Amino acid sequence: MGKLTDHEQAWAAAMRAANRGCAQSYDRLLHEVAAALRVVTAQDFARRGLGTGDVEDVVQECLIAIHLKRHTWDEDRPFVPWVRAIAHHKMIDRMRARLRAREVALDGHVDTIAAPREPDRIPDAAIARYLGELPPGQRAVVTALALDGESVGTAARKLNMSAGAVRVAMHRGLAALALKLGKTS
Amino acid sequence: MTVQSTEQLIGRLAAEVGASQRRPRMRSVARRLALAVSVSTLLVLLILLTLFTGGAHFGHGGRLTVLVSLGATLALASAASAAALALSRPEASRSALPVWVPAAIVLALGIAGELALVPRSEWFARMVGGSPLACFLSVFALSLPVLAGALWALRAGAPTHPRRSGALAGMLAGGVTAALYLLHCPGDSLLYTLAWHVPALLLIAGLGAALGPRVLRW
Repeated sequence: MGKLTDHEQAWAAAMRAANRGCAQSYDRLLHEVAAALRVVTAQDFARRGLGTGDVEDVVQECLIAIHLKRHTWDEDRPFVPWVRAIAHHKMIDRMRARLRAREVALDGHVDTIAAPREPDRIPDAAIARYLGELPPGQRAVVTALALDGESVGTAARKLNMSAGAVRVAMHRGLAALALKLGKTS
Repeated sequence: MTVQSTEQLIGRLAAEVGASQRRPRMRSVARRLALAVSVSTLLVLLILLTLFTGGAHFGHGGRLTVLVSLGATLALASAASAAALALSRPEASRSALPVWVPAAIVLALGIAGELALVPRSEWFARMVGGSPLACFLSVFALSLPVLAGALWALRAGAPTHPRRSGALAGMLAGGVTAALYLLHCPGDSLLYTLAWHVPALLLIAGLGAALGPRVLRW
């Protein structure tokens, strides 16, 4: 983790610029942070004996959290500890979700695990049910974009949201759906 | 998810930052908390003035016991709100001093003074007071809107100790409500405050702690 702190000055400067609306600085910053988190997360998962298949999901969740919670970084405070705290929070979250998934998977299905599997096809009923479990905002966005095939702009206007908010909701909704569906298969 | 989709995500987030007008600041969480607490406090005040008409509204404001209780409750509320705001930064660690310490010192000093001045035979009667259960339940129930408001505000932050943040929201709510309730029902005794207000406060703090991990997820 010592590597992260080497970036302190550059990242803090880039984040300050991003806070003032500089998209390029933010783009570069997120790329560097994503690359660093990819390494750190994979190491962390491996150290705990966990598979590294969903490292990229954690990286994306961290990026979204950094974006949505960027106002909680105080410009006078160090940036790296802030990022690290967010990453840690998201990693723990993912590990908990995995543990829960494992419990569900093993609970009463031990006999069926070795059985040959049909190619993955998720029943529509399951999609509808899990869609119903999403927060209303995400549900509306996912329904509009993924099921009704609307464009982001149309959905944004229809739902009275900004295009950015629609994209974030779409991303989170799909991630949540994938997580829920992953648990059942 | 793939690295390519991460690239796309970064592109979208950067575009959003480029388009945003306002500078993101931590102050927005504080402002939200102040708004939530003032609105819910007004609501509680309104309920007190309209539904709790039997009491001695503001009549006994000058009494020393009321001032001590007010001092303790407001000390708790302000310490809890400061700590809850601090914990809205993800990297914040718990503070060394529990937030209830100043309030407890104020109350303990007041109680020591009361015990010194009042004969032992009256202690029990003072502690039980007139309508203890009603007071206990009212403080608890009236805290709920303030707790809801405080939790709503804290959702704007990034708390990584949600149980603790929830408990702090509860202490903030309980402190504010107990202070308001004193205006309606100025207890004659700090022993009464200790016996009935403090448990109500603990209950609402416990409720906040129980709700925190669910409500303050992000």
